Amino acid sequence: MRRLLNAILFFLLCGVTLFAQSTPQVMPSFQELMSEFTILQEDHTENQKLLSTVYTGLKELTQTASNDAILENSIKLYRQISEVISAIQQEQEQQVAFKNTISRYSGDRQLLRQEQTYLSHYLDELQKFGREQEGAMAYLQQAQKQLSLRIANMPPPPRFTGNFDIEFVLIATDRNNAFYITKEPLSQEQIFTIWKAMHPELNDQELQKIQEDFKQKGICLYEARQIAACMGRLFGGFPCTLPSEAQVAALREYGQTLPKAVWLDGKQNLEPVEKEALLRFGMTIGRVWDPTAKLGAHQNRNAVISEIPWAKYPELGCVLTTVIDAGRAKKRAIIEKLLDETATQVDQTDNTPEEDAQ
Amino acid sequence: MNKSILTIAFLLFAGIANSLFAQDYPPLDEGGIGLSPEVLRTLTAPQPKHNSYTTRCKGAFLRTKVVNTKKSYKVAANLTIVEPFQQPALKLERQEYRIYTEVRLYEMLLRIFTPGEDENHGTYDYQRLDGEVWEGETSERTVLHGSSPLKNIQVNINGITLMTDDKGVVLDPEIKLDILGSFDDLGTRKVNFFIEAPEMEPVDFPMNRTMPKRQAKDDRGIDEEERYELLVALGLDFALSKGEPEQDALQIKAILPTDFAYAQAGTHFPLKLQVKNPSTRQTSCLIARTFSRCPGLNGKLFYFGAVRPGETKEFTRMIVVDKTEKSNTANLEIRFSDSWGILQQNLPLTFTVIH
Repeated sequence: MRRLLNAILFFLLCGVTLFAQSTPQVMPSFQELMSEFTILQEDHTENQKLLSTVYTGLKELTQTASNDAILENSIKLYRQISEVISAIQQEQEQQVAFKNTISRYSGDRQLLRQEQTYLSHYLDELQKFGREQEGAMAYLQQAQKQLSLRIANMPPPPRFTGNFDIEFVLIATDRNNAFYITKEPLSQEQIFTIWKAMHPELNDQELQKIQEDFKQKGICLYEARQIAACMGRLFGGFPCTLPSEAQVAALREYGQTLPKAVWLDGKQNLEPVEKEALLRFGMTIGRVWDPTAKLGAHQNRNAVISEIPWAKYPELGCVLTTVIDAGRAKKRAIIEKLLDETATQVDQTDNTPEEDAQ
Repeated sequence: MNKSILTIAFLLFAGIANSLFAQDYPPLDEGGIGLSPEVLRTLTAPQPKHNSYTTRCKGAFLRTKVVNTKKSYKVAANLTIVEPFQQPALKLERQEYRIYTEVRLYEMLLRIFTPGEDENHGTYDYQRLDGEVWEGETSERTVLHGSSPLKNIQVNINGITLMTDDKGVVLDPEIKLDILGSFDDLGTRKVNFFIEAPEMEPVDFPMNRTMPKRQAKDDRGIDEEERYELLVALGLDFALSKGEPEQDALQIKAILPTDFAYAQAGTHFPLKLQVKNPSTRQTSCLIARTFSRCPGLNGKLFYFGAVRPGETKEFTRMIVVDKTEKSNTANLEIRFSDSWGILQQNLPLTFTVIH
């Protein structure tokens, strides 16, 4: 708050100076110059303190045990660094303006010896400040870069809740093969809600018919794909798709609790005889994963069978998958929101006794 | 003493003279042209000089004589089409074969050799001996004696036990043998049916499904005989047509029995496809295929071949929703293709399933 007031005061002074220059300019007095320098000095000291806070924070970050705490502290530090960088840049601008003021002051009159000494001292100090600022900026920018990487590579949370209260769980067989999948097949209500959001042009009667259709018959592959695409858009660019046949192997445990068969998408692993028939007759086929044999017994070891893409069954639903970055982004968004809320509360109660007195 | 020496000398002289002037008889021949043991013995026995001798030998062929007859029974199969759904089936016959063991009979001749003035020369005379025959080589001859339908009998075809009806047609009510199903893989052109019946020799029946029809040749292999050709038995023309058909003009319909309300899981029912050609060009090697998740509904080929302008053709397959199906609906889609490519028409079908 104090720094903000100082900044406003300084800019007002500069503004007045410029105004005075353009119209006839009012030259600040030497006393005013001394006051300005004091302000700059205090600002610089303040920024140095902030910088050391950042140093401490970064050091403590490496000692933090919990991943959640690391993520939260990383985000906090990142914000803090952004603020410090902004403050240093502001400081630099102020210093440049002050140097210009000194130049004009020196150019306009015959300086007294004492004045010369002071002004030369100020310029030396400003140079020193400049070097320190350069070093600080380089360090802060590097730290910010590393924090970005760290935040981006944080272990994804084991679960998160996306739009429409759809819960995603993490499936990770190894570091390179991890993804999120909806905890359960989408319910009829969820499907209908998403469908309604996708088609705002439909009237109530049409929507009711569609809702009844989803309830009685289930969902076909084309509808499942549209729902996945819609969720992807709502995830802010992270792709949301139906699971692929290649992911089925990683979902063995998950599959044992599936209450329905689910649609798959992506590259199909078909037998040559089937491929030839599809080619010969111009047919496209969908693939279904039925680990708990809800549709019927089958011979396939991995429980993946072919199905006509427009077919619908109440026993056949859809699950959605997304990339691990979606979970990370969701977690980060939650933490940032909490931090924003905390900062707002602090700002509202953040009045020092002096300010209250004023 | 002098007499003894003279006697010995005379005998020695006689022996030397005998060895110098004895005739060289021809070497003994145990084979050759019909030298019997008697002849051989006469050759080795001391011969009176200037006397003729005889041997027996083979003359002209007379006839064959059946010395043994055996009977054997074999199964013979043919393709036939049965109602009510015009499905291919095997029709079996019981064929009786007689196996005759025959020996060839020749005239018996007496060969008389009369030596000439010189013991090295002579003449041969032949005299036919009536009432006697020379028995030559034996052989077997198999003759189809008769055939009859293999009726009301249990047969085993490719390990599947089935019954035949009164006409010898193999009954397959549960579609276990599924002749059409054997060819549902587009790459399968030949299927062998190994047919076994009690107390009969088993037989292989190699059935072919040739699409498109091969060019006619003068010399045909056994696998090109029409009696083994499934599409010929079905009365279909699968020759390639030269003109491009009007695929889009075809009118296609799926027909279920009139009393069909639902599919009973585990029970076969007929699905008939009807193709009507209102255009001016015939189709070429037209076929259709079902696609479905249910194995009993999936992959069934329907054959139409050449459907001429104005003609309507139908083909029926027996399909089934498997007993293991849990859902209450079954979906299938039928797609068409001919020798000119894929048809745009398709038939989506959905059945209610009762368990």
